[in-house]
Parts: sequence; C-alpha cells; structure tokens
Amino acid sequence: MPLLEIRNVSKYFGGLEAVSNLDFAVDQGEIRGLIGPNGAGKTTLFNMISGVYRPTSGRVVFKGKDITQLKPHAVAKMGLVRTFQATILFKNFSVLKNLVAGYHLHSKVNFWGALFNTPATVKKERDIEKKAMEILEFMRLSKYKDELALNLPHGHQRALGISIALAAEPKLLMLDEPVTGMNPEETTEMMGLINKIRDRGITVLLIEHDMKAVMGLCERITVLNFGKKLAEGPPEEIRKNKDVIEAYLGGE
Amino acid sequence: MNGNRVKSFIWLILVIFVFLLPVIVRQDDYILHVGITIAFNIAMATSLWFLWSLGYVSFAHAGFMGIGAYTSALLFLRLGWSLWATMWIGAALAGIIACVVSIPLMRTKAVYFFMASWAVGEVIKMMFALKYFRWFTGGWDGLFDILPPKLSILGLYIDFSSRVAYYYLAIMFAVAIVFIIYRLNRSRIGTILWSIHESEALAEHAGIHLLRYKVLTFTVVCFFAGLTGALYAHYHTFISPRTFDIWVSEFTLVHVIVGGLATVAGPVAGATVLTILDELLRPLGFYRVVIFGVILILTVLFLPEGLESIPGRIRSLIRRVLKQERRFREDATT
Repeated sequence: MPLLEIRNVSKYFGGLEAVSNLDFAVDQGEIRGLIGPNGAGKTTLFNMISGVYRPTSGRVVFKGKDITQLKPHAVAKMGLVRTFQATILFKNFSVLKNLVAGYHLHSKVNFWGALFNTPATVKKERDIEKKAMEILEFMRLSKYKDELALNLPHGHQRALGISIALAAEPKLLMLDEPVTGMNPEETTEMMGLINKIRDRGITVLLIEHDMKAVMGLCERITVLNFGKKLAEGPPEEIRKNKDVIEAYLGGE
Repeated sequence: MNGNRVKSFIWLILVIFVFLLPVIVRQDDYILHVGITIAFNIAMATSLWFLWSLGYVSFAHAGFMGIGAYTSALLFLRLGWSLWATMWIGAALAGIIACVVSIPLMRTKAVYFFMASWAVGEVIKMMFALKYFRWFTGGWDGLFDILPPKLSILGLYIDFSSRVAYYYLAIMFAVAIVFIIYRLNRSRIGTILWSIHESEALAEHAGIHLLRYKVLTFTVVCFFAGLTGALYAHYHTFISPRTFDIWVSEFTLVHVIVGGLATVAGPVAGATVLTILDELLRPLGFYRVVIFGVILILTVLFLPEGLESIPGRIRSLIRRVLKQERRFREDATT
C-alpha cells in the first residue's frame, strides 16, 4: 500500500482548471520529485494535500485514511507536514524557539502546570528543547540557536523552515522548492540533508525547479503540465522523455 | 540569571510598595481611589494585551467588562447575592458569551476583527440600555446602590465600603490577573499564541488548531474583563451603559500601546502611568482626550516599544556614555 495516494483529484478556480484528474502515489521511504513548468499545478497540489484547499473532486488518501476534508492542523497531526515556497518562519522568534513552537504536536499543554511552573512542566520543556537541539544539530543550525530567525542568511532560513517541519516528526515531508535561491554549495549541502532525512525513515515529496538537484535526489519523478500528469519514472527516463522536453522547451 | 534576579527584585519591591501604600499615604481617600482605578485599568490592559499576543485587538473589551458588572449588580440588587458569588457568575457569563461570539468573530482578521469586535461591544452596550428591559436593567439611567460586600472570616470582620479594604481587594485581583497572564505567556501556551501572531499559516501546518486557541484566548481574556467589571460595579456602586462605552476599550488600548506590546510589563506600566496622568490632568476636563491622543502619537513615533523599553534604553545609554568616557580617558593618557 502506498503511503500517499492522489485519486483522480481535480481543482477548479472558477473556470480555470488548475489540476485535472490527477492520479499518483508516493511509496514509503522514497524521495519523489514533482516537476513541471510554471503554472503546472504543483503548489496547488501541495495545498490540496496539506488541507489548505479542498479538491473540487477526487480524494487524497494518506496511510490508508481519507484526508481530503481535513484542515491543515489535522493533516499535520496525521504525520504529513509541508514547507512553503516562500520563506515563512516565526521571524521574531529565536531559532531554537522556532523549533519549540514546531514541536507543538508532541507536547501536551497543561494549564495548571503552566500556571505554577511545576517541576514536571519544567522537565518537559527541557526535553522538548533537547529534542529541538538535536534537529538543529542535524540541520547544522545549532550554532545559531539564539539568533533571531529574521537575521539568518537565506540558505539557513530555508534550512530552518525544514527544521520546523521536522520538529512535527512527520512520516511524509513535503518540500516546496527547498533549494530555491541557494548557491551551488548550499544546494549540494541541502541535497545531502534531504538524503539524510530520508535515511531517518521520512518519505519526501518535493517540488523543485533546479533540475540538477531533482535528478540527483529523486528515485522517481512525476512531471505535471497544465494540471495533468505528463510522465512518471526514474530520472534517466524523464530526461529522455519527448513530451517532457517539449513541455519545457516548447516546440512542434 | 543575574538580570532575572534583579528583575524579580524590582517586581518584589513594587508589590511591597503597592501593599504598603495605604500606610504610606495615611489612608488618604483620594490617592486610594486612584490606586483602585489603576488596579482596574491594569487588569483590563493586561487582559487586552494577552489577546494581542495572538495578534488581535478587541474593541469589545469594555462590553465584556459590562457583562460582568451588570450580571453581578443585578444578582446583587434583585436577588441579594453577595459579590463573592456574583463576581464569578458575572465573569463566567462574560466568558461564555465571549466563547460563543468568538467562534464566528475569530474567523475574521486584522481590520475586520476590529470592526466586528467594535460592533459586538456596541451591541452589548445597547442591550444594557434597551428600553424594553428598562424595568430590569435600568435603561440609560443605569443601576444604583450596588453596595460593596462585607466579609467575616476567621473572626475578622471586614466592611468593603472602606476604601482601604476595597483597595486591597482590587489590588489582589489585579496582581492575580497579571500573574496568571504572565505565567501563561511564559509557558507553552504563550509560545503557541505568539507563533499564531507570527505566522498563522506556519502555525497551522505545525499542527496548531488556530480557531481553538483563538476562541480559548478570547474567552479567558473576557472572563478577566468580566471579573474586573464586577469589582468595578461594587466599587462605584453605580453603573450605566455609558460606563462601558467604546471609549473605555479605546483607553485600554492606549494604555497597552503606550506601555509597550512586548511583555506583560507594558500594559502594567501603561495603565499605571496614564491613569496617574489622567488624574493630574483632571482640571483640563474634556481636553484630556486630546492630550491622550498626542501622547499616543508621540509614543508611536519616538518610543515605539513603549514605556517598558525605557529601562533598557537608559542602560544602553549609560553603557555608551561610559564607553565614550573610557575612550576619552585613554586618549588623554596617550
């Protein structure tokens, strides 16, 4: 059984067809790429999976459960967490606090504990901070832990965005253009990190325009064009696919 | 750690000063009256600030204060219940109404929320003034003779019609409200609220149920407003719909902004300083409002972090002066 299934999903904005009758499945443990020209419907698809939009028709199934109607916080609770195309962070929080906020799902709120700052609450907060530090260590951000998020350079901000998503301890991580705006060294580093995230047992679905990154990372790639699936397969196949080349370069 | 200890020390001194004030001023009625007013304003400003940690500003705050006040006053006048019970009933009713109202209200954002909450505040006020219920709520004339309670406990008999007694009562509740909000803000709940403030989209994708926390916060905040309202009614012994006018919400907001929005010290400082200023400017009558407007504008322009940022500014100024002096001395020696 695949981890995530998109079954015959369509989305209309008024008369505009953003995604139409799309079918695809992501297997446990893979790194799947989602590519396509601008306006192909990639981010719309992400928004539908993560619960920001409701599909006009069709179903989204995650771990065998229908999540089509769920709101983003409920989808996140199921273990499906995303990052954003734009760099969205808790900008006025320190880097560490960004992660602590991201740990929301795995830390119960106890009103009386909060009020009287009981030893149990203090210990719980410490544990969360320790876990948050592990993720920062893993994402190589630990030395910036007290820095405000808005003061980080772009590459680190992108990494922090992914760290926040990791704090929710997802089963499936959806990355919307993780290496956009990065220089070649940063891109290589981020590719290494994404590989390591997968090695921790987290399935990755990513949108990316940087072909070198996509081809280097993904086992399988799904190509969208005008909201329809154009091709699917391993990178070598996609690279040679005539339809894909045509969609990207135009032509007869 | 050291800075924290200094801070707690300053707070401790402040609390001791506040508790000794009746002795210091030899039970001067007027000063105690100002003290009680400050206590009410602190309770209002601090609770409004807690809502701000979500990124929301409510103009219905005075309205919910009114619900607490009217409920408490009516239960006292019509049924003869004492404040000790009615204040909690008033606060709970304010909380329940806030909870119900905020479910649709909290789906709006920013300016739309201001407008919607404004409307809620006005509707609440008009409900008190409704001609149809005049026999019950007193219409525009309001309610009179809402007497302060008496308390006999452990052989001690306290009549709260005495200023000193009521001063301690008001201060106790203000301190409790500030303490609760301070702690909640420092805890996980505070982190959740501020993260919603920072980015709703990201907070939601981190698994935070936005509506639940918004409704919860609004409910808690209005519960405190209602509690303050009940205490207010039994202190002033007279309330009318005009007591809970939109102006009260606006002044509370001015207290919060002038005081500073970053920590709980802001609304406490703002409410204290501006209430004292308000009393000093009393001879000016209506023009006080104009001066408050000017103060608000000057604060936003020249002290955007509010009164609470003054100690930090002074500290950095001293540091800068010392550094300059050291450099000057070094220059002199070479």
